[in-house]
Amino acid sequence: MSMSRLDATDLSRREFLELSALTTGGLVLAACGASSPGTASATLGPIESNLSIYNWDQYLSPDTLKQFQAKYPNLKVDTATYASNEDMLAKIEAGAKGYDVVVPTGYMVEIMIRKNLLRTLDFGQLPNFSHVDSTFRNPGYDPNSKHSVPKDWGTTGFGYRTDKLPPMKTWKEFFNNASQFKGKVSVLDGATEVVGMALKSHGFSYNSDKDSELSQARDTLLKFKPFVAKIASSGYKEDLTTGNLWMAMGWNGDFEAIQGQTPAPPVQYVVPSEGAELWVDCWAILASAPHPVAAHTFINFLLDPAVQAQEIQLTYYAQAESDALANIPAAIKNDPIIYPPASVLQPLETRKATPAGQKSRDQIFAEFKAA
Amino acid sequence: MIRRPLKLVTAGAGGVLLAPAGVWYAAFFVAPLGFILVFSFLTSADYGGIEYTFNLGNYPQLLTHPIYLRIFLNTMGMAFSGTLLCLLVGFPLAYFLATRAGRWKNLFLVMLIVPFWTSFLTRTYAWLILLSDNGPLAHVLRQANLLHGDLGFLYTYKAVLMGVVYNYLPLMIFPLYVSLERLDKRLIEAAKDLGAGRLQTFWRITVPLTTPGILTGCLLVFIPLTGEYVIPAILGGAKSYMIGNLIGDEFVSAHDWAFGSALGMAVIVLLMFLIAVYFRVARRATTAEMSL
Repeated sequence: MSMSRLDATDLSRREFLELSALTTGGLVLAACGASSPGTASATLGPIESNLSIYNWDQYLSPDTLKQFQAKYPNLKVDTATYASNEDMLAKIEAGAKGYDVVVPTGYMVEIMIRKNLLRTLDFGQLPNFSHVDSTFRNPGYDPNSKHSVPKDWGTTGFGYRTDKLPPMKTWKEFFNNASQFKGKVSVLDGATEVVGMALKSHGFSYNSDKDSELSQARDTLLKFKPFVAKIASSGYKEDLTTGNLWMAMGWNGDFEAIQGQTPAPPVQYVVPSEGAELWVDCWAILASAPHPVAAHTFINFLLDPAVQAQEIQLTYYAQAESDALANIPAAIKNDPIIYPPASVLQPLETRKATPAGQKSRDQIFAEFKAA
Repeated sequence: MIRRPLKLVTAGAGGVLLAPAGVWYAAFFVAPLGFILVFSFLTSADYGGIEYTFNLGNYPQLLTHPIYLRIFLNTMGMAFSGTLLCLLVGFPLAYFLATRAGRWKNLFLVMLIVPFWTSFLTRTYAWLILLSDNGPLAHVLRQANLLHGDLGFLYTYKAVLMGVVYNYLPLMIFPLYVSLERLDKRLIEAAKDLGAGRLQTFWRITVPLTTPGILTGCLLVFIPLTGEYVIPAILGGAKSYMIGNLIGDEFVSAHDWAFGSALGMAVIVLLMFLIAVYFRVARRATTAEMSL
């Protein structure tokens, strides 16, 4: 294992975050390169001399990057990071130029396709796509995978300190028991996640757009709010480890990283029985990418099963290639947090974005934050 | 008559002097402000961006939803209490520096500036560790048998106010120090000679004469505080959602650029009103000083 688990616990996939959002704000808008946007159907020439990857932080193994550069020594690779899908979209939409490869989650792929921000992929240049499992080849958010290939996937659930709290299995318990340990609970900083899980606690769909169901979710959240310590998509790993928090909504890979620490803090991850979110993060190329050939070359390199097996040891998120399993350590591939059994996966939903549903979620979430 | 050519020269030189700042402000302040003003009367596109359709609905939305008014009130409350706390902590310190520090004065002034050599974010994040339920402070208090259970200070409104005072205090102290330093000590002696007690001298001589410094310090702290975004986000957890955080969320997470722009304009108008009040008070204070 080239990356120790402890390394991975220092910063999470989505962690660099906020910090970057807080400090740089819109400054990143300044363009890095000035090339005319590639059109979707242009024939691709020889490989360019640069490549710019815009990704979540700690979401690409430094070893992978080193190997890629060793293979293409004349290619200069730049990386930049973002804290959330929304953050990335806002910057791209505000006109940030120069980035080639981005890593949107499935629902964001759908939004970006609708806004013509993504380039149609040239599968002639992606021979390693043949390793991708068929279940990931025609996702709802991107029919026939025309604009994206899967990077990894995971679940959104919650974790709690087993030394402080009784066993829990449901979102209902997550929202209702919080009153017993005021100031020790955190949720993700995402309207969709928080409102969606409140919908789930009532047995409704994660993607419900019905006013009556959304208003019940709102009531649950407003009742829950006084006991919430923190609304943040980062830092919950550290807070659960130190005991500042006893319970937190979060992503499975982060909880895997907590359990990988020595000594492992007594934290249990739960995919609640009502169901939760199953998400797929994807590689995609921007329509404005100045270096589309280099971008294809890079994505193809990442789709190599051996590289996938290396990536999972950094991120602890499941890969979309069965071919990679042979190279993945047993401790990871047999771990139910990373590769949950079918019974856990069955009630999960992926996020489907509709403008009206998003608007109601944003309003409920603003009210939740201000309450 | 003699002054006329002189005036022409100064006008030309004035233009040259103003040009760099003028261009800077036009490009990076006036133009963006213009965008925000225009955006606030347009329609947000789905998932971000703007549609060029005239829309008067952004401002009424601000007034009809009680949550937004509550966020404004929370922010003003935080800015007022933060400013007041800075004044209460800063005034005695500035007074000490100006009157009692003697040859240590410069050392103290440097010590006030030294923390600024470290990044603001790093300093604020450092409090996360110090105030943590199992952090150094909690350990010391437990050892001293002063604390049982959790510290429970992090992610509260109190933690935000502490972070505010910590970060903004120098902005308050320096203007106070300057006006206390300039204070004519003979006036204080005169007051004493005429039989005024310490308190009376303080309230009737020192405070009125340093009012410009007090007002400047308060303004320097209050205005940036109304837009404070980082301290509530880091130290306040879920407990203090301010206008700055709301505007950030409207643009980035909620993709509502038009409403975010309207919120931004509302803050500007509110601040302009408060600054107008400030100038009125300040002018009265200066007139009072002149007549003294």
